[in-house]
Amino acid sequence: MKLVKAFTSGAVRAFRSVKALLMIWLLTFSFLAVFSYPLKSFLARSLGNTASTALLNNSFDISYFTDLGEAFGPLMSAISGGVLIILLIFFFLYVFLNGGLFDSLKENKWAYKPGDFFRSSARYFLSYFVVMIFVILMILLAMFIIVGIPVIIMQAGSSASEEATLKMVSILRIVALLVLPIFLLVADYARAWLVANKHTKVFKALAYGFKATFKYFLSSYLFMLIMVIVQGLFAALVVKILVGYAPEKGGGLFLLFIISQGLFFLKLYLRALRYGGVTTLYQL
Amino acid sequence: MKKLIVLIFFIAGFLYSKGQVIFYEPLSDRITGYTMDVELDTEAKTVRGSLEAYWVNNSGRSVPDVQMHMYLNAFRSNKTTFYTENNGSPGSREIDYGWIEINNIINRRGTDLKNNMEFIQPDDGNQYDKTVLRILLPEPVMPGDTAFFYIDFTSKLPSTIRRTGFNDDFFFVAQWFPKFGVYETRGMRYAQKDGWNCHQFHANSEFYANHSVYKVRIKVPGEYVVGSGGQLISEEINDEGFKILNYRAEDIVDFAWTAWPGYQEYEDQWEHVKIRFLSPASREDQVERQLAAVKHALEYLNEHVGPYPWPHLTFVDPPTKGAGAGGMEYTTIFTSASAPMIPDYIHMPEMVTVHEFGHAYFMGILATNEFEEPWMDEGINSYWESRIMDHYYGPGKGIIDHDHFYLSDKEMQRISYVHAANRSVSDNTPFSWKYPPGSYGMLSYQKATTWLLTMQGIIGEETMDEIFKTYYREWGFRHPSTRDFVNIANRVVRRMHGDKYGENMNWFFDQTLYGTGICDYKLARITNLKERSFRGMVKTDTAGMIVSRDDTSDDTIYTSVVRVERLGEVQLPVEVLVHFEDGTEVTEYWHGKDRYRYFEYLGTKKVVWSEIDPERKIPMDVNYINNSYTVKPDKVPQKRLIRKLATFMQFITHIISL
Repeated sequence: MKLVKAFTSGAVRAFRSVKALLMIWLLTFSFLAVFSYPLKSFLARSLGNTASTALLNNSFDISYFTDLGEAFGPLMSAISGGVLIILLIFFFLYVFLNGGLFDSLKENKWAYKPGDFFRSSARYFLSYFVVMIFVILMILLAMFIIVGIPVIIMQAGSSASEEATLKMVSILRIVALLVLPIFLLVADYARAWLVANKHTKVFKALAYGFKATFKYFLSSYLFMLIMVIVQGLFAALVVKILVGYAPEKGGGLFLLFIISQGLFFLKLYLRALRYGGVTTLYQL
Repeated sequence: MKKLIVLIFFIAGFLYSKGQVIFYEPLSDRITGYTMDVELDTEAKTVRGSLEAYWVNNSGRSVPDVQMHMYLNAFRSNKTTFYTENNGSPGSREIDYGWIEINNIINRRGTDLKNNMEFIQPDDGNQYDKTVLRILLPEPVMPGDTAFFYIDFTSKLPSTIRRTGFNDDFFFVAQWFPKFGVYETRGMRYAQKDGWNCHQFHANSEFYANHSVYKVRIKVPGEYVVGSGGQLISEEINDEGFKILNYRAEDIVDFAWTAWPGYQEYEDQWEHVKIRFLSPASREDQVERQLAAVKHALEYLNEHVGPYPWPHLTFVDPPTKGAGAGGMEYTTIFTSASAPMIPDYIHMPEMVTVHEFGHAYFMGILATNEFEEPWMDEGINSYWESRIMDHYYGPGKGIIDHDHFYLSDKEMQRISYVHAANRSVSDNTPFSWKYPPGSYGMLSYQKATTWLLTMQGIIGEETMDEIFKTYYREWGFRHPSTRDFVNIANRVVRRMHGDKYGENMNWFFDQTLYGTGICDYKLARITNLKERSFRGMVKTDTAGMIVSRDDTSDDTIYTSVVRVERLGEVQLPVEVLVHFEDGTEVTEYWHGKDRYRYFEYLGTKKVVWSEIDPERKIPMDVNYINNSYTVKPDKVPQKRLIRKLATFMQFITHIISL
């Protein structure tokens, strides 16, 4: 029952937070556009009037990149260097916006104001940031313990067969995947608690995160596991669509834009549903 | 009756020994030969045994000494030439070190030669290096005579597998016995006078040896599965539970073998060749593709170069713990490299198999000096690898063949050369250890491959095949040099094309093989200027009157100019494809020597785009993107790429934010 409630209420809360989602989309899109523009100019400059852009019609064809010739190296370093900066900036941006989103989901009303959204974002930024860092570190540590250490031990004992190592790695991967929802629940409960109590006490929040996760373990865990699977499938669908669709005309490009942003908005909605579901479980 | 029994035994013995012979007519001069009886000690990690070796003095002079490679001594300390060059060390434990010791050595007369041995360092004078042994003979070997040596030796295998060694119960035993250098007579390759060509073991170097006959008896614990470069003559388990294997190999330049209890054996047949494949059980999903790859290579090289003569071939996919032995060649045995669950669209395991098998030709049959002319085995072999991979796995898809991502072997080779920062630091002539730091692999493999593919683009695949067929015919089972290859290429090109490419191809080799220049052609500009019709005043013949006149006709005439430029130093003939707005095309030929050239067209149609080398016959061109020019650039693909990249970034950044 709790599980169904979490999904339905999460979906409604996410729907009611559509204004917050739109703001998140607009902000992240604007940021990305800022980064994309120089890359676009760089590519245009490198290509000039070449006729070989037709090679790009084959989607991600490595030959195209090699054909960039002298520009290949600088382009790659520009992309890889840029990616790191983008990842960092967006990490901070999402940490910031999540405060507003959680607050909007908690309020669960249409009339939630953009001003409140940004105020909450600002208020919880630091504590959300610390929660995120801790949870990410915990995930990395858990993965290292679950997968890394056994593999290192097996590799060190050179008598272990390749077949056994492979089987072990496959099993450990599944275990790691099953453990992941627990940490996500801890993060979500901690953030929901911070917003609900208008607190900024990070460690108390994390302690509550663990407590709540195991207190309502079955429904919480099942809810999160389903969400992780759904989001995984959704990611696979997105990759399939984006890689497969290669428009060759301007109209097609516009359609690509609509589809890709539509999919991204759906991704935002699914995330909000998850947060909303955990908020519901917290309030039950 | 007694005589009859003796006769029967004699005939049976004769037939038995005939049954062991692989080639009734030797393929090579066989001026060296080795008979070995050895035992693998799996605990001590040693191979211990006896060796009977002979060397025939086929020179016109008496020879006072012999020189032998003692390759395993490269792993004796961190001060050997091998480890000095790669700044490494054999390891921290005693068991990690490798070495080879001659316990006893006598000649045919029973004279002890131990005191006549000395280690020499012909390449660098490094006194710590004991990889070349000189044995001063009590009596010189007279022309035509044969020197015999009876040697007891112990080889301790190193732990870090670098082509040879052990890890746990896995053994790859290569470069493991005292082996003659090559006695080069005056005029052979670049020899100014008769003498031994016997180099030290270097970090960036492979080997050089005579084609020999090997008879090898190997004793290993019964549970071990053994593979070798020889043809298995007999196999038995003795009373103590040891496996005794007898091998014979003919006309190969090296004898290597492997032993590991975990090998699964697979067998296949290609025409006269019995193929044996040893692989870990966990890689069963890789077996079929590996066997297919080796058969592709056999088929292609037989057709385009010459026959693979041996009736046997063994190849090995080492387990992860023996990965250091992967990707190495010993003519009739070679190692591949793969891993479990490599997807079908990634053809890297096949690429390694094709490459290492190819060395049976380029080093095995055409036994070049890998120390001194590495491009002749690695470069030529990589060239054939690229042809084979792209032929069997799809043009443009030899290495990766995914629906949305692909890479050809030729392109992979080209990328590694044209995008290397140090692509111009040397030509292809240095000895392998004398290439500038960090350039050996790129220059001897990828640059050589790229210029060979360029040569093919210029003279055609058929001519290239004919060059290699002639090379095989004339130099098979001998020791060709760069000069010999160039001479054959010049001769064949002239025979097939006359003066089309000049008196010879030296203009090409001077710029590529012997040159360091860069090739870069650019299509700089296209202009379409409307021919202006006459508008102005003319004097007519009607009563001296001046009237205005306009000759504008309905057919607008354009002067279209295509400008091409040579940016690099290398001058190669190129084709220029010119595409007009009505869809018609013209292919121009440019000798590529000038710094720039204009192609001019007068007509009613404009030039829309133009491309230098549209068929990509000149992979040496370091920048293809500037090879074409269009007056109507299509921006859609660029925009699409950026949009997709941006969208992926949107998703990825959102995912990591939890």
